[in-house]
Amino acid sequence: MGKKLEGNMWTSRWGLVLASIGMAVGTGNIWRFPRVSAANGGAAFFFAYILALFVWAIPLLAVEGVFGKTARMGVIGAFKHMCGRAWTWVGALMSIIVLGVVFYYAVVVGWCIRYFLYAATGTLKPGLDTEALWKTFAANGTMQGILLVVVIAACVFIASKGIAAGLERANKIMVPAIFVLLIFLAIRAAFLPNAVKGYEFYFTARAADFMNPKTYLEAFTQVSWSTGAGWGLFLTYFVYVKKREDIMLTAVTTCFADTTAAFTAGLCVIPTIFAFSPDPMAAVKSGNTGLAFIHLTKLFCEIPGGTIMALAFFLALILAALSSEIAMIELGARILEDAGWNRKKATWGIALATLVLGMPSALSGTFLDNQDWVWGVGLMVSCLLLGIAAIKVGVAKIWDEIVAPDTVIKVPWMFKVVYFTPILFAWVFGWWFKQAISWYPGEWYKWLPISKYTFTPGTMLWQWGIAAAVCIILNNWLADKMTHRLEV
Amino acid sequence: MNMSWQVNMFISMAIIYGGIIWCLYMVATTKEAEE
Repeated sequence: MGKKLEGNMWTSRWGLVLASIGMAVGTGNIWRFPRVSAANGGAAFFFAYILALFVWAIPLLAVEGVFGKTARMGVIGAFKHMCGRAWTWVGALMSIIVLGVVFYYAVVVGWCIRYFLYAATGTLKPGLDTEALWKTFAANGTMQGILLVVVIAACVFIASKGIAAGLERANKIMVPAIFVLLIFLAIRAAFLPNAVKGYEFYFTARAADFMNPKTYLEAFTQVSWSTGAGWGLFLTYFVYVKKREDIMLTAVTTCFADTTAAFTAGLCVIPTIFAFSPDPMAAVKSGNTGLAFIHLTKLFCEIPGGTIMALAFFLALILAALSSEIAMIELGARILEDAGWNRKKATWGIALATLVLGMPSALSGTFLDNQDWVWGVGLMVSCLLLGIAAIKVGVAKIWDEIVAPDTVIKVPWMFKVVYFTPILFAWVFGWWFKQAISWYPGEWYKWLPISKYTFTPGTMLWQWGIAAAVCIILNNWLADKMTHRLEV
Repeated sequence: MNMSWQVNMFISMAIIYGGIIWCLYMVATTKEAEE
């Protein structure tokens, strides 16, 4: 008894492709990829990343596309429809993991807006103590709360207008703008003195790095977080596609565009750091916010034409973050629409939840770090659940009946490697978990108080466990609620 | 395996920019879904 698909879908293939790219390209492309790539072997990391793209991200995104296009429901309803009523809780758990990200990611979008305003109002001057500026801002809960409201208002404004008039129109502006800004920054960086040292560092490959498991593990982790595979966002966007939309082509295009954005950001960030930073490795190892808001901001203050670079850099960050945040809001709104809510009510419902549940992250940096840790790593679990669901439905059957008939990329192995998802998960997650335990010897399983055990494996396992228990308890209730499919 | 960084840069760019150009070309030229 849902609405009709007609009038609620992407008006063109470009609309879908650009929105999918906007969903995937986020702040991680701009401030994480260059940093992680440089710190993990440069070219070796890049080739490992391409491998991960083909064996992890592309097949999982394609599975999402299949679920969305076939079920015509959001994440929870799609699992119920594809795998059976008993699997409804799995979709619910995936949704909680992604919504766990949306609540604090809205705060991160606010940071980018604030730094864009710093650049626009002339705050970024030579000699500025950027570390002190960041600490003062990070401690200002009121300002972060205000920015959170601004970000949510922008998302509601776009999402409440619907697919064609809201998400498609916004992404058609935002996504090309992100690429134009990144290309401008990469070209500007190329003309900085000593930029060549940055390229040398970024592209040097050593045999030892190719043999180092860490290179591959970092690449797989980055691919998971960057492309949005296993998040359910691609699934949600595929609820609104035409009946014979090409799933594989959209998945491959999304992955390559996402990597293009990340790679181009590296061509800007790494040469800029190597051209001017007295200690480039300290900048590379300073974490995402340290790199963007302390080290790069410092360089933007000092270099000729730095203000224009800062404006372009932070605007690219805002657009990348906003286009991803909108996708996450849409994921929640679609679920509520499946339960019978109208779009306006559903969008406002998710916005209100983001405001209430995002506020603790706005007011406390420790809480934000904890949530980033718990739900960021949780996305790997989300990928595993999706891979298992695809195997349950039948990978070969999905390829033969749903994917192959409508795709120009008739390469079965590119989809069927989804069989390896559980093995790859066990490898990546197992290695990572072993490392994480060693950070808190004897206390790794503890989780309270969060201020003390912010990054323990225990805080993750407890929060995931509570979320999973709630989803299992509510399984039947949720299954009964998910009844409003889009009618094709 | 110790290739010069210039060669790595060329290969990386060829894969990424070549890949995305191919994808966009396919999106633009293949027949769009009917319904």
